[in-house]
Amino acid sequence: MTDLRDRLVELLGDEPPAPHDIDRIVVAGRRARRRRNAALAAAGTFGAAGLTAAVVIPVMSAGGNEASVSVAVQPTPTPTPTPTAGQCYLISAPPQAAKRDLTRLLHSGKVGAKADVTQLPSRKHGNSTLLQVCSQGAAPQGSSDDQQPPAGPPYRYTEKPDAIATRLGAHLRDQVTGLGLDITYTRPFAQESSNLDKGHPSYFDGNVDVHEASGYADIGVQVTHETTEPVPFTGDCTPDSHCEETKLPDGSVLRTGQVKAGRGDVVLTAEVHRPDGVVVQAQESNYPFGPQAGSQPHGDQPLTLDQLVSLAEDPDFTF
Amino acid sequence: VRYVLLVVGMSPADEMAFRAYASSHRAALRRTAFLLCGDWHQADDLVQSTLVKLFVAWPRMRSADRPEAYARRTLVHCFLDERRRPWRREAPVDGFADQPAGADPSDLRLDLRAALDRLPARQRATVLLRYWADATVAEAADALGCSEGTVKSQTARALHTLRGLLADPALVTEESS
Repeated sequence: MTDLRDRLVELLGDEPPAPHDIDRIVVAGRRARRRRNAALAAAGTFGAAGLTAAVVIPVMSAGGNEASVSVAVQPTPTPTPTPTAGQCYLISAPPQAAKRDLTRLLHSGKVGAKADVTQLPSRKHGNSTLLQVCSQGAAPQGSSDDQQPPAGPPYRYTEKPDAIATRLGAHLRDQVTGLGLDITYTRPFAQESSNLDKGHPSYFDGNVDVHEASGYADIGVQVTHETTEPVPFTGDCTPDSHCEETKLPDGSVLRTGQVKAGRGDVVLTAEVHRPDGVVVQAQESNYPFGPQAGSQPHGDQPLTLDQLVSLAEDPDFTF
Repeated sequence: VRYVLLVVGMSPADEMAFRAYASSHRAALRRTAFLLCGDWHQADDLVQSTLVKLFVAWPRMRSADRPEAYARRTLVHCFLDERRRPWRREAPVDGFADQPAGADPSDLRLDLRAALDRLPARQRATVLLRYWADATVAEAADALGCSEGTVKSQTARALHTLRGLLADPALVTEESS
């Protein structure tokens, strides 16, 4: 009998020294917190557009205490105990911490004697509460949901995930061989995302390596639903790269772009966002991922851009 | 309307606690990351991302929160997110299918690494959480954001696949032995 853990230990035999410097991590962490602040501020703006679902609580202030607030505010561009017209504060924290921060803010006098406190819908996981605290009359009047992404219909699986994976894999192989390409390796489609059973669909991802005259390359497809989560576009939209967004006649949105992954590695992406919430990302790379990876020369891009777009538009890539 | 974000900062005591935690746990995180992705450079990137996220979340952690659980969850999510990038697709180790199972430990490493790489990313994460990171079913479910039933089924599938790929029906875990 062999124990899995014992065998996993053997994989670590050639462990190189760790490069991590805690100081660098702390510096990066501070930077990340500043970025997060900015992102939360943006999320609050979006949330404010959808106030119809929020509860608005008028709150009376109990007086000023600037010192207690300075502990919690980071950074405060213009700290002043005088209420600023048209100013709102966002508090993002677990419920208890949010209540504490809210109390400190109200005591500071920054939002005046009367403030509007609104709990905004939070898109973050976990138990964070997002509060918007505005001086009187400053709260945005949310009547438009224009900036909210479409929620899409609730998703219900109509096939077993294994069956979906098998069907998508067979279809990709059919399409690729139909284009006259020689498949040398197949990575079966698999259900990969982290929301398998919380009422969300997962995404399915698979790819094939192909052999052509100049070497090896790869074609992959990822199918998901936007109701799960925003789909990260994998094209690199720099000014000097091909990157376009096109509205298709059926209402779909097509994006194309490319990523230079280094050492001459290029990945082209065609991504179609369909009206029903399905998103198909078709990618082709000029290098293989299978057994030939690293040992065989790169090929050219195996598909033309039109062929790649056709793959992304293929209605059979769905679930 | 002008927004000002109110965020609880990190106190010196918090930062010291974070530094102590990161110093003492980064090696273990790094090994788990390596087993997940099979590449030390990528493992270092994953650990860096995980610790940075942990730093951001540190002041908000309630006393009941175990940083280990948060770090484990973050590491797994960083890994799964990276897998969505097409240029991060894994390449199975060359020669896997023809690799004879010999007494040379390097042969065994090659086999197991290749077998892990053949597992879907989530199954790999599940089996490593359970049998490398010693996570309970409930802890693994928390890290993966799924039910305990899903953890059990993913674990069973992963072990079944590993036994087949390694041609080692005797492959056991402490739990199953």
